[in-house]
Amino acid sequence: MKRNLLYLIFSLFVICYLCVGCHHSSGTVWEDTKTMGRYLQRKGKLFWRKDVDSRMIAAADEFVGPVEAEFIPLKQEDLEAQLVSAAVPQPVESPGVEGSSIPSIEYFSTPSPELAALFKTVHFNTDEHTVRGKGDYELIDRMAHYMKKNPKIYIFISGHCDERASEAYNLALGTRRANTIRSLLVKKGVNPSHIYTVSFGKEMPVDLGHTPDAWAKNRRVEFKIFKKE
Amino acid sequence: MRNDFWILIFLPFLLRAHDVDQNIVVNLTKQDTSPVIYISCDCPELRDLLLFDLSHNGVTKGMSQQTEEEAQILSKTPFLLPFWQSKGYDYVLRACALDQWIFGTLFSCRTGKIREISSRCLEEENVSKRCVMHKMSEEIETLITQKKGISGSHIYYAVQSLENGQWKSEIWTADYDGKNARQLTQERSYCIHPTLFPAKGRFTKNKYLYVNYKLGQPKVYINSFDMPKGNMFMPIRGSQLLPALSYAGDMIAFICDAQGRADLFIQPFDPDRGLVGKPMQLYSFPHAVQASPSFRPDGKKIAFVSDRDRTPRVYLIDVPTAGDQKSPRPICLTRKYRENICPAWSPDGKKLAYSAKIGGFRQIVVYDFVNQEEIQLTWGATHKENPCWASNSTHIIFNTAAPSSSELFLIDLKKKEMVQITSGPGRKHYPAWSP
Repeated sequence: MKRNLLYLIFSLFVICYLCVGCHHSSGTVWEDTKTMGRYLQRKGKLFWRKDVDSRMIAAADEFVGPVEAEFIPLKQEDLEAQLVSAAVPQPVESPGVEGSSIPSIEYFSTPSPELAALFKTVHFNTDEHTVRGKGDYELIDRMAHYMKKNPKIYIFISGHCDERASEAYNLALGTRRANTIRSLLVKKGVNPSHIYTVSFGKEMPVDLGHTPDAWAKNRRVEFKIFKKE
Repeated sequence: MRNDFWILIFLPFLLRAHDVDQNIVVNLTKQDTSPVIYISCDCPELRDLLLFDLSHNGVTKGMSQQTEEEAQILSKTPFLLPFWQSKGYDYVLRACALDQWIFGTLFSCRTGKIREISSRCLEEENVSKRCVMHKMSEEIETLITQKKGISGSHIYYAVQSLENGQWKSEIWTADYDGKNARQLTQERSYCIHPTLFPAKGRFTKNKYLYVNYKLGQPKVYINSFDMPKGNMFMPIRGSQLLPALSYAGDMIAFICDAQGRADLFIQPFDPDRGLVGKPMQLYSFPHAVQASPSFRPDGKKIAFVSDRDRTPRVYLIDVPTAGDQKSPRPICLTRKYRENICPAWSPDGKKLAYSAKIGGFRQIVVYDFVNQEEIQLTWGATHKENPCWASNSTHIIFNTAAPSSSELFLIDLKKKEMVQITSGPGRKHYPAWSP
């Protein structure tokens, strides 16, 4: 009897929830569900004392940092412990700045016809920064192989987005896309100081159309190459 | 275990509770009781400018006669209290331009007092004619409200264009009404996101920041208003994006991928000496990007965007201070709408403007800290983003992001009417208002 009552109440709640959900589009309900899922997952990890957030400096001494350090980083232990693909810090030497042995992007060129098949544009799914499939992984593998065999090659990876999200957010998203490809190349053994990244967000579309096809073409990373003599 | 079961049952309702009243529109201010100013002027350019300024300053309503005949009659009518009161005006402004000078007289229909407006020469060195006229509007506004107006302020923005198949972008400036536009930078590269120093100091005098792609990776540059090219400002590696300055001028927040992710960084700063110490990584989250930092006016908190919970939302994080033992954690601020981006804290600290996706389009929304409400300011089938505040905390400039064009718009929180202030070639975006 008690169990039946419990089932009845549960069913009523499910029906009410579905009715409330009908006020909104399926997209917004899905967004809420994902947000809730992530929230619960994080709280669950906190319960088992697995801190998900990166931690800030905790003491006054840490404000100064080591003399030789360029900046004061976050404590990385937590992040590194859970990252599937750990981020790779940018090269210390920025291209084109005074004293740098690597010139500015003007001296990097689009891949020559013989390299065009290798350094092909990589496309992404909407709002995603992960590589889509086997073909792209194979492409990155071949790129890494070529770069390891040609240690004088330096590349610029530029991340781009489609027009649908905002300008400012897309600048950050493009950064993530370019850095994902960079991390994969470094994992394959490419010298990290030979790979630079830049994000143009949605500022430089390759297709000026406003269709799903145009958006798919614009969600991309492109490569520029420089050979140091 | 039983408690957990009930929490799980109720949780979707708790999460949804924020969305139920999304169609309710709440006015930020009470009924409009702005004083009405009748403007009489023989110079059409000055009259139009005064009319715009005194109608869009958020505190007065400017009016002018439709026909020349009526205008002629009223321009000669003496300042007689009963006559002007019967017309329903609160003030009468008579302005004229004569031999490159402008003069004005303000008559109060409430008290009968007549005030002379300072006469101004239109041919001042390094100052445009319109700028001088705007100063007159500002003086009138100050006389009526006892507060400094926005008419004399300037806006800064980036203009993107396609040149010989290559995208270029330079920094421009204009009067707050979008007129008198002129190009500031001649970098011949891709410059975006101008940022102004709120606090004046020996180092920051006559200078501003922007993001420049000249060398490939975007870097924050510093430049003088009278120089065509700037210099790299911060030596940190990687891409530097979306800089924001604290109101006290002692901290710069920016987004940087020095560690391989788009993270939030801060850099201590002194308006007299420049950079102080090293930049500091303030917040990072696996597989998430951070964007668009904005300081609270007291400099103790930063609002920024993160997509750590999948859809981008605005979070608040404490700015660390030396000796602080606590680890600051971001708190999600905006929950009512989705895809919340570009937060901008008002100079009075009571409001946060941001862009949110509502009904398929990004609209400007204001989070009111006093009432803890999220209020939609704009409507219409165009994306709007990058809001920035005027010093009076009642006006916002933002850019639209239509497929074919991107223009700047001015909105007054009282009226909630969008006024287009730019037009012509090039996409105008990333507006910033002079402090």
